[in-house]
Amino acid sequence: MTDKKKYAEFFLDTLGQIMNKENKEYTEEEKERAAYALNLCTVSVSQIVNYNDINILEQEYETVLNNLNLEKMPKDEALLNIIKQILDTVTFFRISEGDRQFIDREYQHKLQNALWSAVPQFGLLVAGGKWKTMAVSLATQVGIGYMNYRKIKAESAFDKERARWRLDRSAIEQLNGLRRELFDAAWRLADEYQFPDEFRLTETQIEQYNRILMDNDLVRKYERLDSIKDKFKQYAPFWYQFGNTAAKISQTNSFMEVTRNRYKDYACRHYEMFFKLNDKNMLRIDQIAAACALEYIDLLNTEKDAKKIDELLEIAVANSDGMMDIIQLCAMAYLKKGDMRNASLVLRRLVNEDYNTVLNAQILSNIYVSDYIYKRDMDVAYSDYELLATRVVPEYLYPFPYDGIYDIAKMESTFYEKQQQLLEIRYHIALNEFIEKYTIKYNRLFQTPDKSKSYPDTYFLDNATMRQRRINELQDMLVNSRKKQRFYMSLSDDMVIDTFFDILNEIYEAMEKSSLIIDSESLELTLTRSITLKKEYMQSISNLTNLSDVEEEEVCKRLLKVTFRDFVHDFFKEFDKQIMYSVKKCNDMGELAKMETRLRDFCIAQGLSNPTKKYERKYREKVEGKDNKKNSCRKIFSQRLLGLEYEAQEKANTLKKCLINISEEYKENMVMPNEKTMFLIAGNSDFDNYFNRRVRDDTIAKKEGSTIAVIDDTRNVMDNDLLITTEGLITTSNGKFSGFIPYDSVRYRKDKDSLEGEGYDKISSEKIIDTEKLPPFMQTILKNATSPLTVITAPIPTIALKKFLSKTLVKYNSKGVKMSELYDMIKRFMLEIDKMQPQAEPCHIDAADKYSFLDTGL
Amino acid sequence: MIYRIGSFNMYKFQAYRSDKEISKDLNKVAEIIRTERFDIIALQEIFSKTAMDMLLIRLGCNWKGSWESPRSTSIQAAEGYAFLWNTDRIELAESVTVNGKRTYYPRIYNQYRVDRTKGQHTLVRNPYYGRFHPIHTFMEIRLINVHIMYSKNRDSTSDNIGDVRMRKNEIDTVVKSIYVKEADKRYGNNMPAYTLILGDYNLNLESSMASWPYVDEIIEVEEGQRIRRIKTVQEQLTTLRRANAQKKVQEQLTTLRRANAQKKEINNQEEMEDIYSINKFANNYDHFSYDEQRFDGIAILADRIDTLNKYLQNDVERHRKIISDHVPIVLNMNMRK
Repeated sequence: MTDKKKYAEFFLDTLGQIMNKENKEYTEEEKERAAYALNLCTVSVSQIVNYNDINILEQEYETVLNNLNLEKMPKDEALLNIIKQILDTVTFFRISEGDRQFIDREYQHKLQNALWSAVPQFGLLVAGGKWKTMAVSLATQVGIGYMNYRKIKAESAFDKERARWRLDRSAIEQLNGLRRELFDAAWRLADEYQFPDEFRLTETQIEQYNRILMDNDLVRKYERLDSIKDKFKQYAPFWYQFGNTAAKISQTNSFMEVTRNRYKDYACRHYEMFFKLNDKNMLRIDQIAAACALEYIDLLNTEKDAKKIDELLEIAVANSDGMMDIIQLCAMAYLKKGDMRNASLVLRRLVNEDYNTVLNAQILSNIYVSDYIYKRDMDVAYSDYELLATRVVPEYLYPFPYDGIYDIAKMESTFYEKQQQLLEIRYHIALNEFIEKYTIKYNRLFQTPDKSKSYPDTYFLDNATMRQRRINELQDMLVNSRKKQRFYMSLSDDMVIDTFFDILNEIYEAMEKSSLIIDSESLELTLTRSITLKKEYMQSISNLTNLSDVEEEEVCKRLLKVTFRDFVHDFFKEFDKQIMYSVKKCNDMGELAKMETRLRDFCIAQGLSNPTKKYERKYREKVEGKDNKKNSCRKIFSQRLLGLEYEAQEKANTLKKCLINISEEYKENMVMPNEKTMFLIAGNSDFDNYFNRRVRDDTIAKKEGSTIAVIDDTRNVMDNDLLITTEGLITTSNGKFSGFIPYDSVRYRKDKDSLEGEGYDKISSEKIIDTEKLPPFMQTILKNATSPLTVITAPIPTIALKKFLSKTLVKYNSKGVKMSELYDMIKRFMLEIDKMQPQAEPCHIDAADKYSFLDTGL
Repeated sequence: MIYRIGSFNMYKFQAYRSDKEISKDLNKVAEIIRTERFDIIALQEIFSKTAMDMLLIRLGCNWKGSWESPRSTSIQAAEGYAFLWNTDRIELAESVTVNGKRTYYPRIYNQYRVDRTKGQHTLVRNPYYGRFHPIHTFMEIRLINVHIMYSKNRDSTSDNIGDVRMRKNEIDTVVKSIYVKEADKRYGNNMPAYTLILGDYNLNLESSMASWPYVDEIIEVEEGQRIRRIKTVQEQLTTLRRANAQKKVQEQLTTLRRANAQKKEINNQEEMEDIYSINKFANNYDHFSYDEQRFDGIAILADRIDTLNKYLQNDVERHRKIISDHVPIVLNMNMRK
């Protein structure tokens, strides 16, 4: 909107000038500027149309069209109108944020790889060496984002994205129309300004120029540009492209030195020509000038040409304005120059802007350690390092000699080993997610209780909670003969087994494409063996309808017990072994960077999350002491519910209200008519009376806040009540706590018309238990659950293990309670509880970390 | 970048008419146009500019309109046309001429060639042609608003072969003489243009549940080496059924059941909607037509707006009286596929 407003104001201002334009004489400078402005716009729009690529559209919009210096533009209403229309049209077709980020990340990765390839010895600085001696020519090899994208497009990379990024037909048509309008305007302005025809680029010339720019063969490209240079005498960007091509040839190692020097010379001359012509300031921020300056620096000698380098760096920095790719290259230029102070400032900015964060932080840490060791502002270096360690995971950084021992070789090897280790962890994180993805597919195939219902992916995770839930639902379903038959028939379908093998083939294909496999034969054998071992099981699954009752029961048990892991455990272990071998074989950061690229490509191809980000997140959680979240998806059941955090409290209150509303729906049907048993719901006076008069146990009293309803048998003798809380069921006896069953494990037993679950009973034994030996989720219950457990565990748990986790039958049917209704209500509770606690990523990580077999060290 | 183009036969929309048969509720009509978020809507059977102005007042200050009545060989057929457009999104196209910029106001299209050897003839009601420019774009939407003559005698129940042939010939003329000429024309600028025919064709598509007479879904136009394919869309029924048309209803229901019997899977929801449609609606007369190739790369979706259900609780007679005996149709044009 700001741009449009600007244009509107500008139009009003220039109206007066236009009125007085008749018979105006233009200076040479005005003529040149008019021609240049026209050429800039026509070339820019032509490139968008010729490349037919939404990324090019975006770049031209940012670099040229939306970057024009309006004050320098010719005061022509028609021309400005056309430019306004171009901006309006382009705005509609701009790239989505997701695609932009994809391109950005690709570019950052390329930069990182190029740097590591050129800097095998990372500790060079610390060892007293200098970056300027390294042949790091990132500006030419990789270039700014604008140039890099064109380069990889010419190399036909991003082939599969090509269709996705093709411009809409309507965009091409409109921009084509606007291009012709521009050419019409050019004719008219040429006539009005009377500038020489050679100043104006024709449509044919521009088309030819664009075609040449897409040429992949550098030498041919240079010669083609050479043949048309006379037509582009007034067009500065041409000279930059000309110089860029020459510079790339000069850095092609396959040519002899004499050839390389010759083209280096050409490049310098062309870059100088660019700066000579580029004095019209038609663009507010000139990215091309910045790129030209940086590439020119790459060709110069840091000692002999120091002054020139300074001038060029100044141009680059002045034209960087928030363009991270340019700032990154400026940082490299400062390093090469040996200007560590400015390099640090720029690198710190890049880290803060989360641009190539790890790479830049590593370089920065290198500088700080070097400063410290060589006693240059030691205190500042120490404190800077400390602050940097809060920006990134400290393990990425070059190790700081806190112990005062400056063993450079040891520091180098410590750093390198750590990076290897971190890469291994990232590989494990990615693989765990990959395994989880296919675990879900497998479980969906074999363990979907009701095909007509829709289940979220998290339902099919292989953690204890979800497995138990699936087992419960499947068992419930198998009790119904009609549903059981339908379920068997779905498993008997040939497609099911085919799909199972499709899953395995898909996994293998993904691994093959990743280029991570070293020994494919071994992998194939491992997987084949695992499948063959379970051949009979698979056959019986597809034959369920023909089995006897006994056989069928046996197979069902196995269906519920056999996991995806049973098939693929050895296979993935073998694959992991091969990957770790490759990682350990890497000799330097360049090779590690290549392994990183393969990991990255694998994650992108498989739609996995970024393992680096995931690792950082988990690391922070661990450091901040949040690993009690690790084993439970139900984060709501924590001490925060006691009011320590308002937000969590609010969430809990909302949940409670929701569950109370659900209970209200069951009020009329929970207890059979004429029975004395009462169904008391929170908020009613009866409920309050119950807690005031009947409860004799502090443990129970403390549960009032989280109790939704009470089934009160209203007896005075053999009084057994049931508290329905936000966490689970609490049984009472004579007003005292007698047992707790979390909702996760509650099931309905039709044969006994009762609920069954795995919970714990009241303590009775004197044995002292080593809680470390308990399964993790029970440890969590001990640590986090509200009373009654906290009461039991304080001061020291005295628990009988066999009584701790037992199957409990909750039978209130004899008191007139409709147990099926109660179970139905509990199932609805669980849905609401799940909704309140989104089970997206945290659960994925938890599940992967806990139930995977690849150690992430977290 | 989605534009919603509408067409609506307003059924004898006169400025101050209020009687047993017709008494327009203009507030309701305005509500429909606003709620359905039309960018441009082409109206047929609107008898005067005053009638249009009365509707515009109710639409609001961000709506403009243009009305004209065709010179017709039949006085009874001289019902007018209108275009209404939302000025927040649409403006009239401008042309650059030697005398400067000129706004192109919609006009009745009177000058076109007819090839009598191919059965073409001058239309009884010439179409209304408008050029529109969506704001912030560099393109035009050109609309040819038609109301094909039902019969020579204005007998609205006529399925006389001669009348049907006349309707088909009129469509043929619009496509081959007018559409083709206007679709490619340049008006002093380089804007790409997307041309549509829209309106009341008084002909059904065979893929609708209506019976004969039919308009060809594709009309081919030979142009030298090239064959242009003009596609007609919108297969929902759009004219309200009369009370005394039970026989027709039964016929159509039978056709529907036969068609469903041949399908492997029947979508119950769709079947219910079809039955509803047959009971309330009679014909599928309102359509859009466009050059298939020209619109390649643009997502097109044509549909009716079921104002009977959405705004009038299925009261057919009330709809006929206060709104129209047609329901509007809409074409969504998404410039980003």
